[in-house]
Amino acid sequence: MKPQLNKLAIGFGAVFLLLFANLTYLQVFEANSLNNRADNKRSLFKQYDIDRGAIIVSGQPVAYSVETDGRFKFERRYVSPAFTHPVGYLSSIYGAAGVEQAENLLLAGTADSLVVDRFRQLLDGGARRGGSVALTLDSSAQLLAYQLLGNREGAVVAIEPRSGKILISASSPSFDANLLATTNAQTMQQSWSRLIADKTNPLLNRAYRETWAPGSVFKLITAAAALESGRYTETTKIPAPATYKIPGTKNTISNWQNAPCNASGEVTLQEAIAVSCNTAFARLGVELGSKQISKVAAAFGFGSNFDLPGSVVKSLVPETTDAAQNALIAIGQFDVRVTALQMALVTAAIANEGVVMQPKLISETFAPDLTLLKSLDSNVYNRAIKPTTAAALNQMMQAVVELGTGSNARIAGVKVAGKTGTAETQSGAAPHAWFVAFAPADAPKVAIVVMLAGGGATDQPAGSQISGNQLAAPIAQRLLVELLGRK
Amino acid sequence: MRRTEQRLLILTSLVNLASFLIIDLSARGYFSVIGFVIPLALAGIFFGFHFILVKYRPAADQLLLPAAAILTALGVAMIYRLTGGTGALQQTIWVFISLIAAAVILIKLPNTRVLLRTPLVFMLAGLLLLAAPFLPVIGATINGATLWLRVGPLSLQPAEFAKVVLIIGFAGYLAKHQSQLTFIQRKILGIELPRAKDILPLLIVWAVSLIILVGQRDLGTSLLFFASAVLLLYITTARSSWLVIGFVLLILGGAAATAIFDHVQQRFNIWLDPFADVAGSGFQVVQAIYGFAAGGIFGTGLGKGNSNLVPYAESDFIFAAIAEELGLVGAAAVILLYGLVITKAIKTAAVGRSPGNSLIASGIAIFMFLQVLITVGGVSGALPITGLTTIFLSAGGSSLVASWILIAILFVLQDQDHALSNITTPLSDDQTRAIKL
Repeated sequence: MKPQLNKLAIGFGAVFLLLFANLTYLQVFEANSLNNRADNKRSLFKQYDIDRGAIIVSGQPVAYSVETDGRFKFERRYVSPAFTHPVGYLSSIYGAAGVEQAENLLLAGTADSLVVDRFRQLLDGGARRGGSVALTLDSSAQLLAYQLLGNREGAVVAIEPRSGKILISASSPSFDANLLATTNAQTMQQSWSRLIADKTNPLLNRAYRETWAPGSVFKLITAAAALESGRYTETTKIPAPATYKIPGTKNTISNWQNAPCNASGEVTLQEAIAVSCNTAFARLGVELGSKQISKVAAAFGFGSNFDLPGSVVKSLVPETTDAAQNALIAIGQFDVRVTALQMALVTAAIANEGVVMQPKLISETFAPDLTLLKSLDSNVYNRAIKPTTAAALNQMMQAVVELGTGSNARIAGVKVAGKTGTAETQSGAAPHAWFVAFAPADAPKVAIVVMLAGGGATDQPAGSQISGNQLAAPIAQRLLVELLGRK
Repeated sequence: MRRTEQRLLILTSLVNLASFLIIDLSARGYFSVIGFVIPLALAGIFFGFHFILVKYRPAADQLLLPAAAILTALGVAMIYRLTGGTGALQQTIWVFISLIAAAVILIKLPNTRVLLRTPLVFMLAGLLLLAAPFLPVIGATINGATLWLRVGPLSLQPAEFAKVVLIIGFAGYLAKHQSQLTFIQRKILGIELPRAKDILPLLIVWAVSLIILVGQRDLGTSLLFFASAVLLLYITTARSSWLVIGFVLLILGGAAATAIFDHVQQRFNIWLDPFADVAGSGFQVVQAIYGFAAGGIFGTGLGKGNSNLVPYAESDFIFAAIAEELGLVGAAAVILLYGLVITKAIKTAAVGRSPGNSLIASGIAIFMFLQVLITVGGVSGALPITGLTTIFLSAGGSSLVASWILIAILFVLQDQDHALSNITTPLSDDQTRAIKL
């Protein structure tokens, strides 16, 4: 029997080698890709072993880790749904979002900048600690903005024009991030299913992860393009009849209530902005062409993702040679789509003598021992328009609030510059109500955008500025008061 | 005086104590009484067995006990880590029962001749044990498999004992009919075929295997019996035609079972692509595979992995837990230890004084090899998942008792075959350190 037994022993040995080869494949060669699979809980569980750093707003943590007695060492806590969209969440099953995702390495303590701290922690033993991140947000203004949005769908973005600091980035509806960060897997899974099934889509950050039709607030960009072209000044007279027939087509564009914008049938560019005159702007659009308009829009940052945690969706101006489309583009209709953040950047640039600052959400980062790692500089994104153009637009926007459609944004003793917008989406559907503003107009400290999606009343025709002024402007006014009161 | 065995057992006991202390420290944060008591109890049990070997089977191999003891002790340590003190204590009691059973064989079984005399009785007993779970009152179905006998607080898997009895019965049968099974009637395509009537016993085993597969939904045991029978036939006759016939029958049976029975088909589909349904049917295998990946080369460290994510980590999937926490290095060590035990069994077969003795030892080697292959291959995704337990390591009593009975039979074979060749001269340590081929 010996020859058979020898063969058997060799066969057994060969099979064991194959088993070993398979283990080597799993544990060495494939280990990395298996560890990084999205459905692999083990890698995510490791995050629970880390004393993850806090995310700080106005000196107070809005996201932080607490020690638990359960099988996981730490659990993540979030103070308010008002901060959920910019701050994001960290879930063991559904991944991370917002600042939690963008600054994960620093918060988890694995960033290269923390190598010294990691070595020190190795010596003291204990759990690994992460660094902290301070945001540019203004805590009470952010909470107020979220409260003012209430149960309406919309967003508020406020920016400090000189620095590009984002003071408010609110989105509604929001959700409680604790539901996704809990160490109770069942609660987490149920919450997630509920969130993704929710028709109001609370997971969407409406401040910069979605674009909307801008309507009349886009007229600021059309006006900027007109001024930059050198062919118009703020006093140039433009015909403003009740209806404007687009040349070469049968289409017409009409004003609200089908009235001319001015008794004389002609308006200056400044008046056209102040009363948000559709026929005058439609004519401007045809004369300028969408190429010129989209060039100026691009200078303001349209088409850019910027570099913000959570990534900004690109705003868009289509280029076309069709006259009817050019007319619609000039009044912010047709396929023009903007994020609330992009409109805030345009407004801030007008306030900042035409300079768009790189928007920033993170102001400082700290090591685990709370020593300052890095203070983030303010950087110029682009000099979008000439200072004279900006100054002219500033004057026009002041007229909007003082004399025109933006009366609800007035603040006693402070000059406010603003622009209303009511964007028609599709016939029958409720329009979006917009209001953009900055104040004080003579020395701007805050630029703000309020957007209520489908927030306008359906019984008003597009171009009516009532929604923007009635619904969005009061919110902007309250927040400007809040922000200026302490600036 | 079996010094090598003694020294290796001291080492085994120290390593085992260390593993319990590490688990206490890393998973609990403090030392517990039970973390000392269990390793000491295990050391006592293994040394007790060592002294019985010294007294009753002095000529038996000296590496076999330490190898099986390390695996058994590692199993208890992992069960301690995965389920806590109560589970580990239960397993320790099973270790005690296993080694008592093995010791009874060492002391009471004079030689293997009694085992080989009545093969048909053993085979019948084996079949009865297999059928026992279908008995009223004491039979029980757990997790969809009718494999259990409930006696008071104990759940026993008679199939584990059936394995022992059937190996012996089959070895006896083959030893008696060796010459006629070797007889060749004709050659087809260069394959030497046995006589049709001689194939009958194999067909019976095949049928029984299929009945196990279908009736008890136990893919592993079914495969184990059939493959063992084929390999033993090959060893008995040296005719590779038996391997060919066996392979053909395996494919036919497997294909038919896959086509007809959902549970076989499902196992097969999971094996083909475990990631197809990560949250559902593939969950267990995928979690185990993630465990292997998390372990890497050196492992997460005892008590520091997430092996609990794998359902049945302490029983069917214990090898995955070991690979996660001790890494590729630990997994390779376990495979090498199995290799050592199996090699010892093959060597025992090679020096067997009678065909019957050789066939019993071969059967033990084949049984252990196939169980390791099916379980290790299964949890690491190389083979379909079966319900087989990982011998020596898995939580549960029946398999452990059966495995140690097989080890005891190997000791009896080694000692008796050696004794026959050295009737008068006492043995020195050097002679008993390892049995040469």
